[in-house]
Amino acid sequence: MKKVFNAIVKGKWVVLVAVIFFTSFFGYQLKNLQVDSNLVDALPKNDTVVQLFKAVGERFGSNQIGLVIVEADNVFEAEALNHIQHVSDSLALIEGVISVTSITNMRSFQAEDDNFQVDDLISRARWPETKKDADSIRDVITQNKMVTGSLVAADGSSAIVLFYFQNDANAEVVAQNVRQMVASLDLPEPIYFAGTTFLTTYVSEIIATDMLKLIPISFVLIALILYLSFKSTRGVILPLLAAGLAILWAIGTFVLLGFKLSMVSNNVPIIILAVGSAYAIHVINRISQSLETENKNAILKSMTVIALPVTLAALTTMIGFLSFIFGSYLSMIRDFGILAALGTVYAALLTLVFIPAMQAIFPPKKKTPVKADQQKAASFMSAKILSPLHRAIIQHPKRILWIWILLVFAGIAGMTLVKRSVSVADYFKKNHPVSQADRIMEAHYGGSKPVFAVFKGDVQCPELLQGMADFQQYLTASPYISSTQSIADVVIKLNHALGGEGDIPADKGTVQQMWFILGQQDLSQLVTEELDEAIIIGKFNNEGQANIRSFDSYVKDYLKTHKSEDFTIEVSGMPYVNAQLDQSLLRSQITSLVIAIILVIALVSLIFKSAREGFYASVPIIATIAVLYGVMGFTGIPLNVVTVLVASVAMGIGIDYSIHFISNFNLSLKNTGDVNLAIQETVMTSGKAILINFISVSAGFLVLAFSDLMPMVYFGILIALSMLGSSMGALTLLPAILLLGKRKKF
Amino acid sequence: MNFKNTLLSILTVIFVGLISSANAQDALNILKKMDATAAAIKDKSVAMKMVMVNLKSGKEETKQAVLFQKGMNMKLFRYTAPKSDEGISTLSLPNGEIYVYLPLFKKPKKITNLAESGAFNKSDFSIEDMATQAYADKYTPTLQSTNATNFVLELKPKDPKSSYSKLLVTINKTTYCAEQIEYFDSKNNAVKKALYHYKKVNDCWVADEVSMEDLKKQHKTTLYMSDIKVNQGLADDLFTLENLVPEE
Repeated sequence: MKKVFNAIVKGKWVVLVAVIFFTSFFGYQLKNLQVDSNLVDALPKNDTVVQLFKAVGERFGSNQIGLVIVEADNVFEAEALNHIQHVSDSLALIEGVISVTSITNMRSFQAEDDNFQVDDLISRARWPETKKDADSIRDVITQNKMVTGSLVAADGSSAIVLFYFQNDANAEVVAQNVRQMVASLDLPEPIYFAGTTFLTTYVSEIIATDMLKLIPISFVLIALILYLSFKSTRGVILPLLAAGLAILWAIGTFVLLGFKLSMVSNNVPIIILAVGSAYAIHVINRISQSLETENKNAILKSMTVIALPVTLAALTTMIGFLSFIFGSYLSMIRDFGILAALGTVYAALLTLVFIPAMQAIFPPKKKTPVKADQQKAASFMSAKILSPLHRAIIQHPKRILWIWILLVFAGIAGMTLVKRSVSVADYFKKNHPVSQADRIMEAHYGGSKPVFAVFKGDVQCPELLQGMADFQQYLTASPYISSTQSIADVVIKLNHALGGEGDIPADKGTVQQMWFILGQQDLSQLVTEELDEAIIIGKFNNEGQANIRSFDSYVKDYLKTHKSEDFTIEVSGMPYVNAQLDQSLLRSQITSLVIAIILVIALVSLIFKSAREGFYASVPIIATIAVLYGVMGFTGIPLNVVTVLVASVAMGIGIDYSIHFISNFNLSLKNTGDVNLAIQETVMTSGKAILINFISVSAGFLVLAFSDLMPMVYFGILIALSMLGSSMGALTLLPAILLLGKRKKF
Repeated sequence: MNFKNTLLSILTVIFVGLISSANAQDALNILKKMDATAAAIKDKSVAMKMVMVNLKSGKEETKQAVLFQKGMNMKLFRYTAPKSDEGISTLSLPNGEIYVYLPLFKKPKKITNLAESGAFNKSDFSIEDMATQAYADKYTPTLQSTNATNFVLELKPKDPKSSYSKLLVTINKTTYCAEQIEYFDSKNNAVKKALYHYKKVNDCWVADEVSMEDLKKQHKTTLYMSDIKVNQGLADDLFTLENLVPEE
């Protein structure tokens, strides 16, 4: 080991040039950096529920809907109507926007004697002049089932301009253009945007803003803490430089491999910053505390001691991240694992190679040999925190053990209360326009998450159309679906308008003849061009969201008893995908955590050549994770696509404290042969690095609390909390266990 | 010096104005000649085969109809095939009146305000495209280019409600028949392209093959005309509601 570091110190300039070369190379790759926050893209391609959902979206364009919501006291007043028309007309001019529909341009069938009219829903000539006129138009229009709850709220408080994204268009760019265009109209009414693509653009924007806003704050905060801890510029610059380079290298490699950043991997730079600086902190702490006066000797001696715990810490952290590759349902979680693991490898590599080289190039000022005791006494941290701590450990190990046992039990109790959340709308703060749009959609339009029933067969066959009408009736009779829409509705209405009964015609020929008129409408959202598939679009309400399983069995009951030779029915939709996602979160959590715990214990046991020490090292972090879930349960922080990462990330990062502690303890015990002295020496030496590391890492993560994405806020708080738990565990629970175990042994 | 410059500017404006005016005049004359060629057909009857092809899947559908037309505004369509469409008829009368007869609903229905941009019986022709029209009345032309055989005119619709922002029409210099029309949407993208082939019947140039391709949907409709008769003196009472309903 010493030979390796000797070579690094000797070839320090080669190391510097190599680092500059790789930094330029990876930095150049950043020009291709892309963000993709579309949850649908991240769903597994081989899942049957997802396959059906995507297929429906492609065939009927249902995944390509954009909604612009205009809010007003009464949208039927002339000014509001003017503005809605203005929005509709302007949207139609945007490249990539097709089929714009609103109450101002919608046409409807009207039948009067033998005159069959296809007229504007609200004829321009009849636009209201007074408030009274507006109220009376509202009363008439809101009776129209095809419009109310789809294009206008029943109380006239809002209206929707609905459009479709052209299939080959870049939907995110189109959505941004739509928002810019609407903003440029400078309308007095509050305007909101809904639909998956708008959600994705909002998330992407927040990611970009977060990167620009939070990373620098995180850097400054960690720099401040490092300066207060080391009181030296070197102690600030080197850890941040190593971490910064690791971030750059990792993202460069990530881009080179063809990956895109997402709302999950967005937080990786801050994780690497925290983890990477932590490794460097331990190295610089060790070198600065070295009693060697010769710079080269101080580097070699310190590196020989610290290389093992840093390597071990990096390996365990990597395992925490890589566990997501095996246990993740969403590709964005897998990508997070890959990016974070890359960052960890680079951070460790730079810590072990670049930092000693830099120490050799820029040697610290000559220091006069100081006795270790004097050095430690000078420190406030040592005097006020570490000394009382080690005394408490030696005097009351059992009491410490019991406190932790109680905390773990409380955590387990809270764990049962943890909720899961998969709705992307929940990712935004309550006052964010997306949340406001979601509230309007839930209150007046039966939610923004439709459920689809696909009927395969001859669409002009009356049996199929009747089957659709019956199923629609069954769906709306349930508490889960607020309204439905299908070609069967249109056929019934047209049949009535053409002089038939208000039902599905009994023979196919009549339906075929009706298509002479229907063919003039754009029905691509309801039937395929080949007329071999038709779709019921049902609005899922809040009740349904909470009870997707009950709804699913309600649907299955119907499908079991209503089989037909003329058609088949398949039911799909985002609520079904959400249900899969919900189940996957739990599976993901358990799989990745179990993988992380087993591999980390195995690795630590292997390195320390002791299963017992492997187990000891993992106790503080396992206890911390139990407490963490308790906190999530008691405070209502949900398990979502980002917070699902916390436990394994905490395992990977938090285990480092125990590794450093045990590593130092073993060395000290070997030197002194006294357990109490070894504990004291370890608490005073490694304890300082652990505390500095905990404070700087937590501060780095707490910066995420300023993010506009709720999962990021929770992630930052929970990781900071887990750092508190695992550092305190390593400094109290672990020494207490070691003490009790060794006392028994000796 | 200043006076010279001002005079030069005025002369330039006048010169450019004169050229533009001459250009517009030429374009309008060409368009009027095209309309006159079409208007030479006082009436016509044709048997029509409509072949609709999805260019992506290759799926093809065929319909057949007979068409009687008198002047610009009287038109009677009667479908003869396939079986499902047999007997469906439409009658177009002056002032945009349209009646449709669906045999299984027994009574003809007047259809008001039919969406002009709507597809004509699932084809790639819209109601607006199918309307026989005097282009010079509905569009403002400018001459885009000319070569040995053709003029190319750009037509801007006078009606702001038109579903097209402009048309590019290629007109044969000898026959003054439109050989190609490209249709552009409000974003100035070409959305449709029509190609015409003519044959001479009774000294009139009559289209015997017209194709319309929807460039976005990748769908194409071709109309093949046979049994073409022109200027045979069709009576006005052929275009009545009574004739819309076929005799039992």
